[in-house]
Amino acid sequence: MWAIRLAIISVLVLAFQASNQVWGFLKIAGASPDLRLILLFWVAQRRGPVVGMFFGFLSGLILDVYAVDHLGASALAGCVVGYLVGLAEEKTLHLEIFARLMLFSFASFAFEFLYLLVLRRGNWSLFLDNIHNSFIAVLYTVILGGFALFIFHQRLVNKNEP
Amino acid sequence: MRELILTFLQLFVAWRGLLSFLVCLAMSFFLVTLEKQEKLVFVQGLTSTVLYPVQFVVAKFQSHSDLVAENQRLSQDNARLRQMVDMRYQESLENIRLRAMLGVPAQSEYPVSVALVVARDVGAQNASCTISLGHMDSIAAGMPVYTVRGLVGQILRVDAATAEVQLLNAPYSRVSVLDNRSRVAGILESADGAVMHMNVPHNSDLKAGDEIVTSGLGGVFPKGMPVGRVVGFRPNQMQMMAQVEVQLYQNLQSIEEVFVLRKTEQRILQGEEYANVGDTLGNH
Repeated sequence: MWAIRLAIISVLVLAFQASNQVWGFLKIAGASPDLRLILLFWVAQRRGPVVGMFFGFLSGLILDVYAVDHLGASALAGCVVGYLVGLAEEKTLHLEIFARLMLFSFASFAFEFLYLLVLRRGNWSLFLDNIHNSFIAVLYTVILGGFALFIFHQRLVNKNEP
Repeated sequence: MRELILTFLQLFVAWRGLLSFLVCLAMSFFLVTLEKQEKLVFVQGLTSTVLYPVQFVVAKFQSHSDLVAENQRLSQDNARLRQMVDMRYQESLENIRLRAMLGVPAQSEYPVSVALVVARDVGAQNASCTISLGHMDSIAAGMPVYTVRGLVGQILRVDAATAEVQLLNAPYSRVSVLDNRSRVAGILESADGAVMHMNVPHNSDLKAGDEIVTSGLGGVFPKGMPVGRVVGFRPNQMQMMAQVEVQLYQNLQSIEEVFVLRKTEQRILQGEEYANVGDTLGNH
């Protein structure tokens, strides 16, 4: 169990580093995909709501450390999305690929919405402006994550098998 | 009571997921509502705590690499200094040979003793101090006393285990010195115990910044011991002598360790070694 958690944390750190440095070539029109969100969705689908929630919270906290002004915003959004995605998977076992893709799209937009809502609370014009600007990045994440889901979907289906 | 606790525990286990979620949510809200300064403190505490093991290991490697670099640098210094010592040794031998050829007797080199200052003069001028060497350490009156910075005085009185040093600013202290640049000689003394003066002819070539060393005249202090630096020169056409203000290299109020030049003992080099060098040169 500890090995799995260690692996998750390692992947998390690597993903964070990779999203900033190694995967810089993935940028399109200034928008880069949120690899952490893809990982979060995957972990929550595989391990359930509690692990997904902790993963979202801790990974968000790590990101927030690098932007002190935003402390707590990413952790909160990650925590909520991780828990809800895990819960959705738990309540509706064996989701079809299309349903997963829809869930992932919803989770991506919900994450961004929550994050900006917490970050720009009270300043609605800035909030709407940010939502508008981040739309392409979220769409990019959805496409990239959907592609990854499509490839590795069978692993999610067989997750309960030994 | 026990049933209540069990029920509570069962509820906790059943709803642990939701409870954990609420706790995380509350923590996130708490972090979001912190002031900027508090956020900074939190982040600093978090990073220092979590990253401390990493920093510890990195610092160990860093200190190791620093030690390796320092060792390398010191090895290079050591090699360079060894080379300088060898050159100096060769030069000293050459000096002895040349002196022998010219018939000039070699300058004697005296043994040095290290002493601690164990007491100070509490008088107004602070013109003497007591050191931790005495008769038992072959210390005698008249021996020069100096520090790594420069001359500080001479031995005035000697007891069995201690000796009193007359500092340069003492009322009756007179030291024959010379300007290292222009070779103008004069007498270094102090009228008030605070400012040191060198009396020279009023048309002497002295400038601020000139180094003052002992002249070797009088036989008390060997020639060339650093004393201080000229800080002011006021020629007075109305008088024969002008006063040059000299700032000593060594602050006399803050002496802790001193060297005593035991100059009454002659170095062996002047005896047999000197004769041997002469013989060697004769053979050549």
